[in-house]
Amino acid sequence: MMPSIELRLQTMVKAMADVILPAIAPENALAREQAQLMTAQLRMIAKQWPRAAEYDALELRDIAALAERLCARVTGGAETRGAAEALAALLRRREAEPTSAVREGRAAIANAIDALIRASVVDGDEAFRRMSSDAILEYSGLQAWRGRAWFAGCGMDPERALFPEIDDVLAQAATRRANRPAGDPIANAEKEDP
Amino acid sequence: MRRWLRENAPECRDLCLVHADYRMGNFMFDERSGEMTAVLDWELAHIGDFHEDIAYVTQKLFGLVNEKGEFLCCGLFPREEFLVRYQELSGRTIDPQTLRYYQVLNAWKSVVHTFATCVRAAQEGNNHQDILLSWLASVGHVFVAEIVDILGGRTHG
Repeated sequence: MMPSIELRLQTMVKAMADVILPAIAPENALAREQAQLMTAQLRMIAKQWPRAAEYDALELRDIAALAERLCARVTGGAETRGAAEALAALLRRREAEPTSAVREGRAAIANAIDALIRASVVDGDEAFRRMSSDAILEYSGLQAWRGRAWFAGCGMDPERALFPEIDDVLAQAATRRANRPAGDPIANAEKEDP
Repeated sequence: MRRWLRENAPECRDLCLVHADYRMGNFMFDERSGEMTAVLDWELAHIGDFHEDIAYVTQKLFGLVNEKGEFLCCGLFPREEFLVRYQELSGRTIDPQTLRYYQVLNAWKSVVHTFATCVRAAQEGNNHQDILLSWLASVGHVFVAEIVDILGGRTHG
């Protein structure tokens, strides 16, 4: 039987907690703090790992949906239209290569959205600037909510007790996708979802 | 964000020394008297608007939620009580719109500190606290949520 990633993480946490941490002298404060952080990170990774690919894919889907929404409503001068065309081309390439690196794909879309927003400052129509601000704010709220749930185990968020388990966050995202009407730009952006 | 910050920057009519990282953890006090004895970490200090420090000290990440579900600034005061007491003791008047602006500015700076500076420093491995920086970076989401809340968006799915 192959040792799974989960088992390897579990044994690393046990070694840290049972052997390494007790062996560090109390006066070695930096070493103790770093060992404690390492143990805590390993525990959090062990919990996140089984859902990490799903979580990354969800982040990519949501930013692609935002990009699709912006492209569908863009109005403005040549610079804004050019940036929107570059973003749309990026989304089409992603459709052709859906299994390419998820994080890199997300970063590329985020950068292209940033370029579109900068261009809209130059010659975008006021209606598009308002719409894009609202859409980005809505997307950021959803992303922050999900990120806070994902990192609640860090113990630093004063409202961490209010957040659902990550399994529930992913289940809610799946329900939200399933309930979107056909023809919705976000649903269209997600048509390649499994 | 940059556009919003430029377009909404308030005029400062009362220039003063701003600490810019004013929060629990950066001041010391005498346990018996409760008197504050020192303020630490002045590397971000500059001349500016006092609202910046007031907004900073009320940020979500630096407080806690008590057993009644009430948010306490720095774990000490309910937000409104803190603002009232500050005005009583300082003689200054807090302008809500200016405070709101500096809440957004501080949260934005904190997003940059966490999602950009912490992550990049940890990636480059040139700090003896890389593991702490990668731990701290995750709280950037709390600051993003604060910006969205203040600007009127949604922070939940």
